[in-house]
Amino acid sequence: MKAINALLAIALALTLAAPAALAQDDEKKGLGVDVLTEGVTMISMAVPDAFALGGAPDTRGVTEALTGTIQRDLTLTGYFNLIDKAAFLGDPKAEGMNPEFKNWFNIGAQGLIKAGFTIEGQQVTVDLRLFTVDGSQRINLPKPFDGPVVLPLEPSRIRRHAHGFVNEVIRYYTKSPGFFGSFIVLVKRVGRAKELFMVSPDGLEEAQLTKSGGVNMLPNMAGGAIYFTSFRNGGPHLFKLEGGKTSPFSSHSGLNTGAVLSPKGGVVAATLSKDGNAEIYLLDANSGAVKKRLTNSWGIDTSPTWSPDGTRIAFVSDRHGSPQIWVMNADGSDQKRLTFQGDYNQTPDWSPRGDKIAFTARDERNVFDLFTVNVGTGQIERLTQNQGNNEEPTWSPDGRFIAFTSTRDGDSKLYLMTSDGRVQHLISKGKGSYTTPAWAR
Amino acid sequence: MFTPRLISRALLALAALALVACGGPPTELLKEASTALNDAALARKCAPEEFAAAQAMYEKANTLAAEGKHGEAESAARAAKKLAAKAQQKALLRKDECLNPEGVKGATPADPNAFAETDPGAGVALDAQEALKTVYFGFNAAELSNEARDTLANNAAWINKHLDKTIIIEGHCDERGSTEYNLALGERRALVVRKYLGQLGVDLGRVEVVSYGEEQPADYASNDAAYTRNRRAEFRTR
Repeated sequence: MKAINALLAIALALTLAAPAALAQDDEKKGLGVDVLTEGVTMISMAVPDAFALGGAPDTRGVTEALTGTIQRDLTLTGYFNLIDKAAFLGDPKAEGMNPEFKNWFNIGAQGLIKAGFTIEGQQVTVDLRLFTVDGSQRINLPKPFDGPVVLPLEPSRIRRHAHGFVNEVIRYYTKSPGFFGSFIVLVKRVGRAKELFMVSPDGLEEAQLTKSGGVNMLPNMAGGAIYFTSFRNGGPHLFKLEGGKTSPFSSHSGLNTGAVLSPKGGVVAATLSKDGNAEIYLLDANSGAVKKRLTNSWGIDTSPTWSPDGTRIAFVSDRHGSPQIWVMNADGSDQKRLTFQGDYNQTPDWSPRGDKIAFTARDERNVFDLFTVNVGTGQIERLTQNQGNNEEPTWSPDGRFIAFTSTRDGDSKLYLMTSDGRVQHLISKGKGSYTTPAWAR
Repeated sequence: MFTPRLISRALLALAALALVACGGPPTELLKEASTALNDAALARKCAPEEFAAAQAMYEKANTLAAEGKHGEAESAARAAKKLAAKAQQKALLRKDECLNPEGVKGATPADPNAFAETDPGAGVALDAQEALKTVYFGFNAAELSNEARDTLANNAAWINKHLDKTIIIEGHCDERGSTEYNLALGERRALVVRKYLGQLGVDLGRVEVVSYGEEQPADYASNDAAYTRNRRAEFRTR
C-alpha cells in the first residue's frame, strides 16, 4: 500500500507542479548520445549487495530497495551487462565503501556501484557510489548523489532515490539521463469497467486514478493534466483530470476522443465527429473550445501525435482506403501520407527526438507488430516479430526507449524495449490486461 | 511491497501454460455453440435462467480454449450447445405468456419476429429487441452485405410502423486493432446503417447513432467466432 500511496503522491505533485519538470526536460533534450548502436558491447557492471555500515540490522528490505532497484533498472535499459555475484573475488562487504580495484578489474568489471546504509529509528542514511574500474576512481555525480543522504525508512522512498542515482549513472555513460522516476498512464480492465492507472517504468508501483465503474480510455498526460476519453456521460466525451479533480472537457455530439497536449502548451489535438465524421481539431487546452478544424476528408482522421517542437502533427487517416500514417503542419496545411506498406497502420507516437514515428501495423498474417517510420525519408524499421500481438507504442521522454503492450505471454501486458527493439522486457507486475499506455511527458 | 505475491501468481500462470495439452482448440464446436446461442434469441427473453446457463457454459468453453485445455473446452462447448437448444425449447413453450403477459391477444406460435409485424400495438418495447435485428460486418469494413440489407429492410419496416419510437443505432467493433480508430469505425458502421435506413424511407430525424468501438463486445471471448459476433450494428429504441 505504501508504494501505491507514494506513486499517487508523485502523481499529485506532478499534476500541481509539472511546468517546472517540463522545463527541466527541455533543457536535457539534444544532449542525448547513444553509446549503443547495433554491435556495440554493453558496459560490464558489478553491483554487489548493499550492506549495513552500522546501526540496526536490515529488517526493512533496504538492501533489496537499493541493490534490487539498481540492478533491475540497469538491466531494463539494455546498456549494461551485470556481472554474476558468484564471480566476485573476495567479500565485497569486507572492502567497505572503498574498493580494491584489482579484484573488480580481474573479473572484467568496467563499472562498479557500491551501496552502504545506516538505519537509525525511522530513518536510513544511504550512500551510493559509482566507480570506473579501468580508471580506478570514484565518479562525482551531481547532488543529491554526491554523498550520504538521509531518507525515511520506507522502501518506496529508498527506491525513488535509487532510481535517481541510476538516472545519473546512465547520464555518465550516455550523456543523457535515464527515465526512472517518470511514469506511464494506461488503462486496465477492472471487472467490466475500464479505469486509468499510473505505472512506474520498472512496473513496481501502480496506482489507480479513476474509479468511475464505467469505460475510461485513451489517457494522455502532459503539462500537469491527464486528458482522457470516457463514456461516463453517454457517448465518448473528453475529460481532464488535474490536481485530483475531473472535469468535462469536450462533449460535442458524436465522437470526442484522444486529446493530446501540444508540446508548446495552449492547445490540444483531438478527434471530433460533430461535423459528420471523425476529423482532427485543435481545442483550447483549458476550456476545450474548438479553435480550428485541421482535417476535412471523407475518411476517418484520428490518433494525432505532436512533433516535439509542436509544429507538426502525425495522425491516422484511411482517406486512401486503408488506415495509414499521415503528417501535416499544426495548422492543418500540407497533409502528406507517410506510410505506403501494409493496409493497417495505426497508433502513431512521434519520438521526442523528432526523427521517427513509432506505430502499430497489422501484417499479412493478421498479427500486430511495432515499427518505426523515419519522418524525413519514410524508411520503415521493424521492432517486434513472432511474439504475439504488439501494439500501442509510446516513447520514453528521452526518446531512447519504447513502452508498448504485448500478448506474447497471454493477456495484454506492458513491455519496455530499446528504440531499436534489441532489448525487450516485461515490466507490468499486476494481473489483468494493460492497454493504451502513454508515457507522461 | 506487493511484488512477491504477484510474481508467484505469474509463475503459477506460466506453469499452467506449460501444462497445456497438444491438439487444436475446438473451433468448430465453439462456432456451433455460438450459433446455437444466437438462434436462442427468444430464450434470452423467455427462458432467461436457462439462457444464462448456456451463455456461462459457452464463456467457460472459450476460457478453457484460451487456456489451451482443449479437451475440456470441447466438452464445455458441446454442453453449451445443448443448453442453448434446451433453453430455446423451453422459451418456445413459454412464448405466449412471455411475449404477451396479459394474454390480450394470442400470439402466432411460429416466428417470434412475426409477432411485432402483425401486432404493432402490444408489447412494443420487448418486440423492438426481437424485431430489430443486428447486422454484422467484416474486419475493418463498414460495407453492408446482402444479408445485412435484408435484415435492414425488415428493420425499416418495423421502424416505419412504430412512429413513436426514436431509434438508436450502436456501432461496435471487435477487440483487435487501435482502440481510438475503432471508435471511429464503429461510428462509420452505424452511419452506413442509418444512411441505408434513409434510403428505405425511414425518417432520419428519428434515428441517432452512437459508437462504442471495441468497448462493449457481444462476446467477451478472443477468437474468430467472437470477433464475428462483435463487428456489428445493434438497435435500441426509446
